[in-house]
Amino acid sequence: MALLKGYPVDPRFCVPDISLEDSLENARPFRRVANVTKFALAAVAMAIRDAGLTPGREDRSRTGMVIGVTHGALVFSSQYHEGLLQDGPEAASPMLFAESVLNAPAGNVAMAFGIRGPVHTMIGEESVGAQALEVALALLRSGSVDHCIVVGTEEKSPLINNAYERMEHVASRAIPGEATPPPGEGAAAIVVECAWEAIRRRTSLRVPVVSVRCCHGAREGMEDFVARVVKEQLTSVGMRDVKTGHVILPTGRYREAVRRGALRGLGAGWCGTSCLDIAPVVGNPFGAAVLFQVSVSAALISSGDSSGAGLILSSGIEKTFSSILLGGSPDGAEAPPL
Amino acid sequence: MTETIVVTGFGVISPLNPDGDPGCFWAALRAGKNGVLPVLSFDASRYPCKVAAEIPRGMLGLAEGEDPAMQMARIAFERSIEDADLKQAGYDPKRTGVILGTVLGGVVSGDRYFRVAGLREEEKKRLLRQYPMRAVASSLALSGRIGGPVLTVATACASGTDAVGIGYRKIRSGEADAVVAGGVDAVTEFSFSGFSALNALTPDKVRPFSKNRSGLALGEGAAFLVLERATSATARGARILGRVAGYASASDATHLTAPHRDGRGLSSAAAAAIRESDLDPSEIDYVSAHGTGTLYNDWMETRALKTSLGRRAGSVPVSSIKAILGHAFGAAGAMEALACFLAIRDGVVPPTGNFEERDPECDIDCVPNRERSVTVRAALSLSAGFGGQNAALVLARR
Repeated sequence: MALLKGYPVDPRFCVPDISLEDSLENARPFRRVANVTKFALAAVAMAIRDAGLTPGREDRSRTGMVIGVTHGALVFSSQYHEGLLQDGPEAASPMLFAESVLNAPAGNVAMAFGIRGPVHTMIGEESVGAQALEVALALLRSGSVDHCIVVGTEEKSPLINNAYERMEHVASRAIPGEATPPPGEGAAAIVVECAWEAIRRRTSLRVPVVSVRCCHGAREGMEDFVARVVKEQLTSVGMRDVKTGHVILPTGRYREAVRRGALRGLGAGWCGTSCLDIAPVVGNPFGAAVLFQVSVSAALISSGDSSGAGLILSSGIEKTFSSILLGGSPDGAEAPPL
Repeated sequence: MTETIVVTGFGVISPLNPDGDPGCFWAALRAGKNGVLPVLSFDASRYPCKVAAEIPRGMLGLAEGEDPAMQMARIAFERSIEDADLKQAGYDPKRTGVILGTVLGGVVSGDRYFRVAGLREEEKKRLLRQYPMRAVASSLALSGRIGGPVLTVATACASGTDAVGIGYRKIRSGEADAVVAGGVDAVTEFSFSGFSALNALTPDKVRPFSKNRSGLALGEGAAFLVLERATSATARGARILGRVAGYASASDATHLTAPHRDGRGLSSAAAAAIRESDLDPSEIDYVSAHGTGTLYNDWMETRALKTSLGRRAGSVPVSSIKAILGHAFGAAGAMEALACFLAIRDGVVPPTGNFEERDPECDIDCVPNRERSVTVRAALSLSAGFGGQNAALVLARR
């Protein structure tokens, strides 16, 4: 058997032990959940507080949530698998099994915050956070919800390190510039809503979501593909050549090709734009990556540290690519998010 | 006016049609042919439950080391594309999508990776590539040369229903012109042991809505529906099976593994889907129930139907195809949506198999053991799952 006990644990980019006592009114039911769920609970608590969504004031059947995950609770899943293989069915833990299901973070978060609208878990590469945001925007557009919480969450597992190293995707063995940084972990969450709803609630608008593009399986070279998609995206919203902003680089594979492609795809107005790379700080947090990037970009825009728009890029080993445009608009006014 | 979204093709592979012949699937459902048999894919002798609905691995034409879920998905996916004649439709690949619902994805590969000592390095790499849940949808998109939205939805046992619903929304919102949406899952000891540990598996037969029901049986397979705009489908002369008229999902927010006792989330999803369809509840002529055959699900679902359909809940035919098909997890919702369309097409609703004894708490017309001729204008397909997930589709005649 290829069990995990002998696998090394990479200590980099770990979230230190977290306590949910500070995040939740009643943390007790969640004390034994997987880290991927704990991270999501903590991030959603912060996002709800930041957005001013007061428990009991909003109709929680009109609040939705979309979570993006790449690997999920692999530590629990591996432990469950090991127990089953080594000690037989009698050792199969119902708790480990239930908590290792990919939508367990979503189920737990929905319970903790009483979210009774649509709750989805999307599975994908590093760009899954952008897919989650797309699905959340669709829920808003369809009128199914008034607010939607978008979450990205991931936990580190020895299996992830082992698998990515074995497949030669991590930095130490892959082609320089094309590698994915070592795995990271954590969660980030944002609240999206129609501008009029935020105004009705008298809450401050942080940043408009202008456009989200998610693509799969580039057939041409990644650089050309990214250049084309970024150019099309900016043109479609009339934001080519208009404002210098910032670009947040991917944390996944093909980072260098994506950077080059994006710079080619940006118009003259973006000349000299700053490219930010969060990977040296967070590693590659897979499912959480895009939401980390969005949070950084939104903070830069809303604090005034970046005067223009933010372009958030993501890529993965299967040549997935996503591009999110935050803030800014052709006439300088904030573009309506929906 | 909102565009009508129609289904123009489908593909399905299940224990009732292991060769992927859709005619066999529907004929077996109508006949109530039992697909729940002694477990084949692993040694179940150590478990109280020894049955599941499986597709014999030898019938899948698996290449060495190939994941069965991947192959099931490929068979159903390719048939759905052929059935819809999608390749000749002329859609831009960048505006064509794949939305897949799955609970376990390539877990059979993960299981083999853990279980088998001395694998060659190449085999280990292959298993690791097949293990992630996203791998199935990616593989389908690549083989179908699809470059639009490629999404994997994991909403537990509601995944297949949500995949169809999200696909419908993608087209309605203009994000895609055509979507192949459905689900897949394969039986594995990993999931079998988990549901056994949760005491959810029946020792013998699945008896949805029967007083003596004793749990669910695992099932497997894949089903896909091809969705596109009615205007485009008509213009290209495609055969139209029916339309997706409404979709909604809702969360119970009460328990990770048990449903809300009154079916709060399911009734909310059903009511919202009916509202979206602009149909009156009286126009729902058939309900494809989640109907797992567990004690609490069937109670909960009965209550949810009463809340969402009112008086009509007592008279509308409601059946669970899981009685004979087992619970195919990510594929279940797509298979059940397909059964609704076939019921609409043929004016026949499939029975709830293995029904033995009426449960006063489940006082609905569950079409016991025999198919029934019913003119179905619209059908409601319900799904619920771990994590308090609930989803509903309203499927209607063109």
